[in-house]
Order: sequence, then C-alpha cells, then structure tokens
Amino acid sequence: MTQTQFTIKALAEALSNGKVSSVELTKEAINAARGDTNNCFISLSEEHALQQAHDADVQIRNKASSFLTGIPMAHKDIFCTKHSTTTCGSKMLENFAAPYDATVVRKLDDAGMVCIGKTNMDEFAMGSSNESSFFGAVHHPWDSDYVPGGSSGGSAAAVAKGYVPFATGTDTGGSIRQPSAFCGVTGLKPTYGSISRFGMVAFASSLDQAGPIGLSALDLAHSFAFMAGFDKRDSTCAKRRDDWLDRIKSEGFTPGHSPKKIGLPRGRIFNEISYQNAFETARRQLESSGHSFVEVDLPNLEHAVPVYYVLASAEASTNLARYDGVRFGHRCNDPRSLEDLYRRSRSEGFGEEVKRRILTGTYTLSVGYFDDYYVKAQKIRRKISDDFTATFSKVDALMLPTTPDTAFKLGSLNDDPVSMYQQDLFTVPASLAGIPALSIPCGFHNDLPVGLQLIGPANSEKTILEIACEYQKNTTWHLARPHSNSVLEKF
Amino acid sequence: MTDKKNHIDILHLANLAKVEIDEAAELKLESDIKSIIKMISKMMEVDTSDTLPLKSPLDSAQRLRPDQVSEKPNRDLLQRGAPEIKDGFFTVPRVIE
Amino acid sequence: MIGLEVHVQLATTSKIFSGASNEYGSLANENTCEIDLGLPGSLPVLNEKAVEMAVKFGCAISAEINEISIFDRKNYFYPDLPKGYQISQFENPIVGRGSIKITDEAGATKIIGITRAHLEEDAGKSIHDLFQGRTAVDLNRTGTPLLEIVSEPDIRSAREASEYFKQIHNLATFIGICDGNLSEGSMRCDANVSVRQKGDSLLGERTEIKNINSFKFVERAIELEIERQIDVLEDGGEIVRETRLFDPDKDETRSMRSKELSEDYRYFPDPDLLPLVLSREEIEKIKSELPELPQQREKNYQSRFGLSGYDSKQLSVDRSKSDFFEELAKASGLPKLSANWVNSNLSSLLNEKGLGFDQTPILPSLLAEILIRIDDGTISSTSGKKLFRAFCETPPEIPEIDDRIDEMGLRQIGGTDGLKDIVLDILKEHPTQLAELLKGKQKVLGFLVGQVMKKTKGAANPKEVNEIIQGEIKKG
Repeated sequence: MTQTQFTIKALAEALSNGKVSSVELTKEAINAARGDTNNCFISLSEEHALQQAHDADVQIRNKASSFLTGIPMAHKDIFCTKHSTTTCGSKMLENFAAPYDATVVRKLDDAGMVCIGKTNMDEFAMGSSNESSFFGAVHHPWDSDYVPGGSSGGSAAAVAKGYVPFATGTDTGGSIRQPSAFCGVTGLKPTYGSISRFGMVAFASSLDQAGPIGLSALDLAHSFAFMAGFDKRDSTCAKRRDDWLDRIKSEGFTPGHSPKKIGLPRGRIFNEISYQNAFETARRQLESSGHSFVEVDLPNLEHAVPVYYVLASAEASTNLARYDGVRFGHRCNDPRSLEDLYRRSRSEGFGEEVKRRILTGTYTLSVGYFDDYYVKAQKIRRKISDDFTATFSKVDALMLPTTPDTAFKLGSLNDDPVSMYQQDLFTVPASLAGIPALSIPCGFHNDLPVGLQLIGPANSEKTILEIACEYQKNTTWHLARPHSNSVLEKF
Repeated sequence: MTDKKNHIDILHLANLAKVEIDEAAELKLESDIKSIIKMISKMMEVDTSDTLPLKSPLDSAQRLRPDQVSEKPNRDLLQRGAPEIKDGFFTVPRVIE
Repeated sequence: MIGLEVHVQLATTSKIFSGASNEYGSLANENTCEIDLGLPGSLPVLNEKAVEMAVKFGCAISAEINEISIFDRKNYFYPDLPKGYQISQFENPIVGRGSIKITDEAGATKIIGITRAHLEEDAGKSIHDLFQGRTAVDLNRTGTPLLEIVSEPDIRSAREASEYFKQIHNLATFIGICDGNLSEGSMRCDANVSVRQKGDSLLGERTEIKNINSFKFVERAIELEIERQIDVLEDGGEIVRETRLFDPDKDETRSMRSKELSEDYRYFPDPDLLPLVLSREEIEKIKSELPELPQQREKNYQSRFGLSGYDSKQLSVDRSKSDFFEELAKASGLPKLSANWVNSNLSSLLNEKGLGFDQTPILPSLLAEILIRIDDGTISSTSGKKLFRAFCETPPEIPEIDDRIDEMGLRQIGGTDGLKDIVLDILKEHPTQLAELLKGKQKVLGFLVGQVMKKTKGAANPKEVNEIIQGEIKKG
C-alpha cells in the first residue's frame, strides 16, 4: 500500500508552476490507461485529448486558465460526447456517436479539462457490480477477483488506479457512492437537479444525478463547482443560488470547519454491516474534531430498496423504449417485419439485467397494477423524504455506512438479482429523497476498502464536503493506493 | 391481490416491451421477476392511507421555455448513426395499416 | 351516439418540447433535432406559447382551467413515435369541462359539452407507399404541439358532428391558435360512434374512426359507420370495439389492423416534466386578452347594427374580417353600408388578389371616408367603387381625398341646376322616347337615365336623375 498526493489540487499547482505541461500529463495518463488490465475504459481518445491538452497549455501560459485546466479526466460512458462513441455499456449503443455533447461534458471542456476516454459501466447504469457491461466486467483495483461496484465502476476504478485524478459518474440508487466505497475513493451524489441531465443517457429520470468521483473531498468540491449549474435544456435542473460554488470557480475552495451535529440512524440494518470497527473508528475521529453525534430514527428507510426498484424499473422501462432499432443504435439483420425488427433488435441489443428491469417496470406500470405498485411506491417515497426532513430539523447531517459489506467476488451474485439489489440498502434512501450524499473511504476490512456516507438536506453539499475535508485532513485512508505505479506520481 | 400476482405472464410483458424471449430464458426470467416482485411487495405493509405520492424530489413547478427556434436543420449529423436511411427518410419493413 | 376528439395543431413557431422549427412542408426529417428524434440523453422542455394557447382555448369555451396539470407518458411502439411513448396529459389535463354551441338540423342552438382538452405532442408520419416493401418515416411533424379536444357524447347525427367540428375550427382559427389548414392536417378528428337499438336502453359497443381531416369527410364517415353498425346488428351480428379508417375514395370505413383499442398504454407521469402550474393571475390575464368571440359578435351585429343573420355570420367567422368590419363601421358610422362593402366589394377584391383580410390593401379608416361620401351623395356608388380600386393602388392622405375625387372627375353632379340642365338636354335629344314615357312606358326610363349617366361619365346620382325625369313628366 502506498499513498498518493496527486490530487487535482496537487496537479493544478504543478501545472501552474510550469513543473509539468498538460500534454505531458495527458500522454502519461493515456499510456497508463492503455496498459490497464482492470477494463476500466470502454474507449480512449488520444487525438482529441492531446488537442485539448495543447489548448490547455496555451491557456495556462496565457494565464487564462481555471483551477481544472489541463487536468486529465474521464467521463462515464453514459455522457454523450461528440468526439467518440457513447455506449452506455450496451451492445445497443456499441456504435452510437452522439451528435452533441452532454451539458456536463461541455462544462468541463469549458473549464479546460482533458478527457482521455470513456469509462466502463453497468449496462444503462443498471447494476451494482459492473458485471452487466457489454464490454466485460471491470476488476477491482485492489484485488482483480472482486467487483469494483457499480454502475460507475469504471470511473471509480480508474481514479483508484491513478489513471486520472477525477472521473464523472452518475448515481441513480448509489452508482457513484457504492463503487467509490468499494474502490477506496471519494464520490459525491449531489442534490437532485443541481447538475444538468441533458446528454446523460437516462435510466430513471426522477432519480438520476451526475456527480464527481475523485481522490479527496476537496477535489470533489472543485469539480462539482464546475459541473453544477442551471441548464435551460433540462427543465428539472434547478436554479440555485450558490455563491460558494461561484467563489470556488474563481478562488478555489477553502473548507471551513465548525462543529456539526451528526445523526446516526438506529436500527437492525445498521448493526449488520461487516466493517463495524472501521465505521466506529471513523465516528470517533469525527467526534475528536468537535462534531457531536445523536441517534436518530428513520423508520421508513428499510422500505427504500423495494420502493427504489419499483420506481427505477418503471421509469427505465419507458426510458428504454426509444431503443427500437429505427433511428439509431443496434438493428438486427434482415428483419422480416416491423415487429420482428423491434423484438430482435431489442433482444440482441439489451443484456439480461436490462431486460429484467424493463419487464419488471412494464409489469408494475400495467393496467391493474399501477396503483398497487407505482403509486404506492411514490407514497412511501414521500414518507422516506419526510423522515429525512424531520431528522434534518434536529441534525446538520447524517452518517451512514455506504454499503453493507466490502466488495464481493466477481460472479458471486450474478444469479441472484434480489441479493444484488440489497447492496443498495444504504444508498437508495438519499436518491429517493433527492438529497446530497457523499462516500468517503474510512478504512479497510479484509484488505478491501470500505466507505462511510455523509448525507445532508437538499443543497447542503458545502456542509457535508466540509465535514469530509476535515476528516480527510486528519486521516489518510483516501490517499491509500493499490499499487505504486500510479502515473501521476511521477510528477 | 396476492392471487393475481402469483401469475406473471412473461410473454405478455415481453410483447408490450417488444423483447423476444426464448423458452429457456422465459423460465429463468419468470422466476427472477417473481422473486423481484416478492421483494418489492414487502412495501405493501407500509400504511400510506394519508400520504400523497411524491413524483419528483423537486417539489416545484415546471419551468417553461420561450417559443423560439433554437435548432438549425442538421439532418446529416442527426442521422449519422441511423441503421437504414433512404432519401432522408428512416425506413423500416413495410407496415400494413 | 357520437363523440369527437379533435386534434388542433397549435400555431407556435417552435415545437412543443424542442427548439426545432414547427414549419410545415420541409424536406423529410429536416425540421427535427435530437429531442424530436428521441436520441439518448435528450430532454423535453415545454413551450410556454403552447400552454398559453391551450388556456386561450379553454377560456373561449368557458372551461375550467386547471391550475395544476400533469404530463404523462403514453407508451406504445410505432416507427413514427420516436421515444416509444407520447407525452400527453391523462388524468390531469390543462383544460377541464366546457361547452360550445352549434346549430342543429332544425336550426336551433344546441350545446355540445366538452369533457376536456389536453396538450400533447404530435407523432411523425409513416408513409407506406413511397418505397417498395418499406415504410418511410418522416419525423418533421413529431413534436408539433397538439390540443386534443374531447367532446361529450352529445352529438346525435353525422351533420351535427360536422357542424361541431366546424365550430371548433372557427373558434380555434378565430382566437389565433391554429392556422386551420385542414388539407395540411392542422386539424384532424377521431369519431367515436355507437348506435342504440330501438327499445334498447343500453348503448352498443363503440368504434373509433381515426384521422378524419375535412368537414365533409366527418359527416360521410359517420353516416357510413352508422349504416354499417345498423346493418351488422340487423343481421344479428355484434359490433366489435375497434379502430377504423375512413377511405374517401372507396367511400367506406374499414378496420385498421395495426392499432388495437385495448392496448395497455401504461400511462404514468413523465418524470422529466414537473407539474405544470398556472397562477390565477396568469389565467385571468390570458382570459382578459381574449377577443370577443364569433358567436357573440354575430349576435351583436344583429342587435346593435340591425344586420341580417346571414350578413352577421358572414362577418364574424374570420377574425380579421370581423375586426376590419368593426373598425369600418365605427369610423364611418354606417354599419349596414360597411357590412355590404366588406361582404361584397372588399371580399371580391381580396379574392382576386388572393389576399386574406389580414392583408387588406386599404385601411378601414380610408374606406370609411369613401363610404361617408357615398352616403352623403358626394359621389355615386359606382364612383365609390372606382375610387376604392384607385385608393387600393395608391392610397391618398385623408386631406387629399377630395382633390383625388375632383382629379378623377367623380364628384357627383347632384341636386344642382347643372344636372337638371343635362337631363333636359337629354330629353330634348330623345323626343321619341320622351313621348313613349309620357304614354306611361316605364321601360324607356332606364334608357334615359342611362343616357344621362353616359353624358356625366357616371358622376350623376342615378336616383336623383330618376327623380328629375319623373318631376319633368309630372309637369307634363
């Protein structure tokens, strides 16, 4: 185990001091990514990246750069990019070249970042292990027999491996936080609506939220500031008054520190996590920084997984109806009729997990079941959201485990979708409520990283990032790296 | 309620969702979906008699846009990934009305 | 029993959920963008103008406007439905219950209830006969805003249905939410038809005839469908609930194989679109900006101006025509003369030039000056028409009008000795005719008046000429 200091912050300093150029950094990052044996990437785009790096170097020389200018990064392959394919981990979109950039892509391009490629993911972001990717599973950065988590597994693993200090992810029920915890990196699912969903391939529209995966909470604050913001092309993208984010863009983030009251949910499910020791040590660490803890009750939390699967599958079943082989995407050979075209194109293009969810969603939306399932789930969704609201009148933030256990072995849960879904137990509640949640590494269990989650009320990213920054100032778990050959450490 | 939910007509769902399912897969899918529905059905025990559905975490009104043309015709780019194009039309096997 | 669903394409500049042009008649798939094509990652953003137009219509039929309405997804697969669902409104439409008046077969006013009207996106077009063995898909129409107006099953005959469709058409074009072009599909309707057997209290199963786009066709399609259903029932058969297509060439309705009525559309609220919220103030504002409506105008023209029912109707169907008439009547103070002119002279001129009433080459204020001068005898009616034509070509400033009349020699030689002298001259010149007239042969009167008109180049007032001749005869 080694430690890295090569965060966005460190690289930004090296770039502005002229210690290294963006082109040099980018070349190294691409070379390393090329040698990747964990299957983190679906595509790499050297030419495009070097062009961006060249432009970034000019900007840096002209002092026209942002905090992120010239820093290599990768996008989850769910964000549409004009310069490369956007596959969403699916055969359906194996050759799909989007005619536009996602808003997130455009914003980070504008900030001067260099996109070296697109990361692997569960097909259409449906999965908790990254095994549902058409392009093969991603292997855990610390032990290749294990899964890296999902669905943003490629992004989390690429950051953990040190190919890039930062990658984008999306989180519908935990897809940023769970792989971040498994891979020992830091990931933020922001408040629903704070980052535009335009150009981000939809899984479940009322839950999907983009966010950053990086090495430290400080880095996340910087990347989040550039990703967030109003977008007229997404009517669910909120107009927030975020002076602190604007300030980060111009001055960088200097986290404040004030003692916070943190809630610890009580209940059976929280006692069953495998890494109690690491979690308790982290709690004491936070306590020693001046934060206080109180136990709280969130009675409806245990229903979050069923509610989530009803809503997410229903939304997905219709979001994925557009993949019909007519205007783009996979089409079967020699369709005999329109019906044949639809059925074979979709059956060949979608993998098992995607089909399972489409059929589940089709079922729950059907006549006669709609009120029993979908409307019922929406009602419990309100109850869960109300639980959080009530709790946040008493505490500033909540601390939860990110996952019930460490990463599991590749293939171990493949035949058991229900057990796989239980992986999301601690992450789906914040998704349902649309509130921000952050996963930070808090130690190891059985030689694999584990994470804790900080959850705050809507638009409280600053609070939870500051608690995390304070924690990471006093601990080094987030800097632990699986191998010493991280390319970024050469600089 | 439990009665009607014991039977899941996979082929009917597959027809609605336009996916083709072969016999072997049908059995596996049916048992998977049954267990998923069983897991989901646990939420039925929650009392929601006085709760309104929450449709979106954003408890706000829809934002509208002004009536302006903001897109220029860009057919070639938009159709670059199309499986079958003829004279600018997307084409599919003939449908009989 | 008949219920109609009328689909009105709203005349917005851009589409309902995208910034692509809403123009008709471009090359295949030219007026589309990633949103219309349903490409991955694209998102709908609602056009505020479409909302305003829906509210306008709702106010015009005195309907309840719902302050909160919801967009839902209607899920089904079809090549011209790019996303695999249509964004529509299901349980919470923007416009609630309202009504519209029609004239029934007996000429009496009948109220047809309107259940609701909701916003939705139009689908594209599938063309089945363009290529061998292929269906061609053009998505230009995809995303055109539609207002679907659903009537109560209050309609009792094919003619009433056509009348109702016409009224919706008049109203929608009058308030400017639709261009009303039926041949381009700007307004289409689906008719639900069911018959009740004599003595049976229960209504039979209904069929739906899809996509009818003319007043004539609605009437014919329903007539045929009623006949067909009666035939089936009389033969002891059963009506099957189905979707049918009207074929005007074959003059028949036939079952559509591609659509099933019982399809499970799995409606659910579109998670990409939050609830549409309208404030009372917004609704009131739109309502207050609504023009006076055709049926009200028609009534006013009869009661206030004493116009005939026919003239009033003629004047109130078209918004620009009606507005022009009202301005003309106001400026001239001559409503009846104004009505005649608008319905005849102005209408035929516009017809000749292929112009609409929103493109009149003469301002109502100028035309009013002509009418005033006809009325006070300054010029004759015939001269008035000449002046009107001339002013349409080169309109004068108001103070120049009288100079132009003199330049053109149109000033009527009326009531003066001058005209009397001319009349006497003519009588002298035609002693035979005069003699016949004196014997009581009224036929020659016209000839003599004609001669005077000829001599004065039309500047005389024929009525006056007539009076002078009659006066001379009485004198002997």
